[in-house]
Amino acid sequence: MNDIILNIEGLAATIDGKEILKGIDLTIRKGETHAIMGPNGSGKSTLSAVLAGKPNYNVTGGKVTFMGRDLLEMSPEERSWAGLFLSFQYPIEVPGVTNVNFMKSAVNEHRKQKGLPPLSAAAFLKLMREKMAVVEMDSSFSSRGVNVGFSGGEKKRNEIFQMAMLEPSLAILDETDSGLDVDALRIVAAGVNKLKTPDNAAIVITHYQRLLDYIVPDVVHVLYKGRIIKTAGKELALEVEKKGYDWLIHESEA
Amino acid sequence: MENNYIYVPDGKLRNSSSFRCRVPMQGTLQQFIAEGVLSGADDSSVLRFVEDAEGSRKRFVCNVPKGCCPEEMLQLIAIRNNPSNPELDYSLAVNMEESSSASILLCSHTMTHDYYVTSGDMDVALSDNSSLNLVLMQNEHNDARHISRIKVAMGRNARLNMVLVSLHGGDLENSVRVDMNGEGGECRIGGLYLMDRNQKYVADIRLNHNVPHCHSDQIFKGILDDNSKAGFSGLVYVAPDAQKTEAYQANHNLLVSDQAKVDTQPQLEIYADDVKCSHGATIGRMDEQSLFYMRSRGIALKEARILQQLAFVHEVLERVEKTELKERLASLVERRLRGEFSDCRDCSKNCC
Repeated sequence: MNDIILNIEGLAATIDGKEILKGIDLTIRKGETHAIMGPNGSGKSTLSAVLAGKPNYNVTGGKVTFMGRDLLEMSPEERSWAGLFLSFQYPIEVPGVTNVNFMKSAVNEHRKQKGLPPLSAAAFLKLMREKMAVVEMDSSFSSRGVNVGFSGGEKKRNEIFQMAMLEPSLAILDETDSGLDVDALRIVAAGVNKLKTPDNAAIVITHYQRLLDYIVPDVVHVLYKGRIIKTAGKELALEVEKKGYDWLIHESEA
Repeated sequence: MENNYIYVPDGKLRNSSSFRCRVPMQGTLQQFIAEGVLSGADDSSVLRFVEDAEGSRKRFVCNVPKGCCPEEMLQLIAIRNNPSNPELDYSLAVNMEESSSASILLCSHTMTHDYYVTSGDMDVALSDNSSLNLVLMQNEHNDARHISRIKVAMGRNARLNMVLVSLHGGDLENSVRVDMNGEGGECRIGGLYLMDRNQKYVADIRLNHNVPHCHSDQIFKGILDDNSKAGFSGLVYVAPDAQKTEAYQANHNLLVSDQAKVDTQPQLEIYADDVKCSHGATIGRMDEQSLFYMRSRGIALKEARILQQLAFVHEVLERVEKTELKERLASLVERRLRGEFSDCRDCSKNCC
């Protein structure tokens, strides 16, 4: 099927010798939004880190195909060029590198990989203004150091702004709702929704149903101890919100 | 920082009086000291160095008269280009009279790859209410050794903002001694050193708070690659009655190879009891988290490493007050870190 963006089969991974992922199977197609929920320590962030290629994680088994290519063979930058984007739970501050220079490096590197010339300064600034509007970001942010002195909400908005600039085929939003007040949550979620097309897909990792009121998933997975123990429609998130995870854990262990 | 070297124009520059900068910054007066010979002085300018022998030793003095605040910056470009006399020694003096202010940039360069030893004393006197922006830019070859001993005496409400940019050099030694002798003085010192191959750098800073109510703030940052070595020794002294002193000192080092070495010794000696002082030193490696963040946005590892190094030194360059100079230095630093020619755009010589 050529509408498959990401296919994960039996993915297992360790960090510092500790087994975190114990066999994940997941298929994501064009146009789909998947939510991954689960209690603390279930492996949600590890999954996103492994998919983005974070060093120090050791893949011990399984296969991941992204846009028809072997994802696990690719460097983090190659994954980005191929259309993968991770919105960080804790975005990193890069003092001394302005947002505008950071994104110029990133966008032009993406263009270079596609055989396109760098954008002119004017075209770049126009694109930047357009994409900042997606998350209602003030233009003063462009000359500030990347995430330096940003509030929690501003950092997350900056993540979604970067996503808008890079137009990924697959966006992984790792607890994008953490540390956000209601207004920021609404802006961030609206930004994500505006970027949705029939050709791309998203994985939304979250603890709470709250975010899923704004970004409505097609499929909800519950991750527990490194395995997906339940997959269902969006109603699963509501059920988890009401009843917690215990009943699912008992069900899976029964 | 692989493949770093300074571009040497074809043919060696022998006639020092022919040396000219082709891309001077706006609003800058330029003078040259080629092999100890001063040239380029404009008699009509208040802000300039003049020769004033001190016994048999060469000495160049810049006196800024009382209340005089020239808008132009003075750039003194010192070059070494005659390897047949490798050792050169001369002294500089800057005398800021009461309520004067000035900006001075000192650049030192070797024009050939030969062995040179340059040593220089520099005496800076800041009278009451005077203010000096002083930037030193060192860009010499791998076989050059340069020893700079800078002594500063500061009067009441005097202000010094000094930035030392050590871009390249075989063996650079910078010692700075500041005496804050008048209340209300403010002394800022920024230092940046970029070393690779077998280069050596030493900074030896002594900052004396001799009287109350003075403020000092030092930050030295270095990036060391290959087998380079750096030493930082910084002592802040606060005299017994120098109450209400504020003194801060920091030295941070980034090691980008496994062989590079740094020794750092920040020290505080405080004999007063109502002061705010801090000091700190770190020696670290590239930050993997931040590299991963940049790579996840499609910035390739090599570029991410450069961006991180630029980010590391940014804080020191920010201390340069003149915008055009700051931009030029930032561009030189960037090309140095990228392993490109360390000269100004559109010029084949090696000035700032």
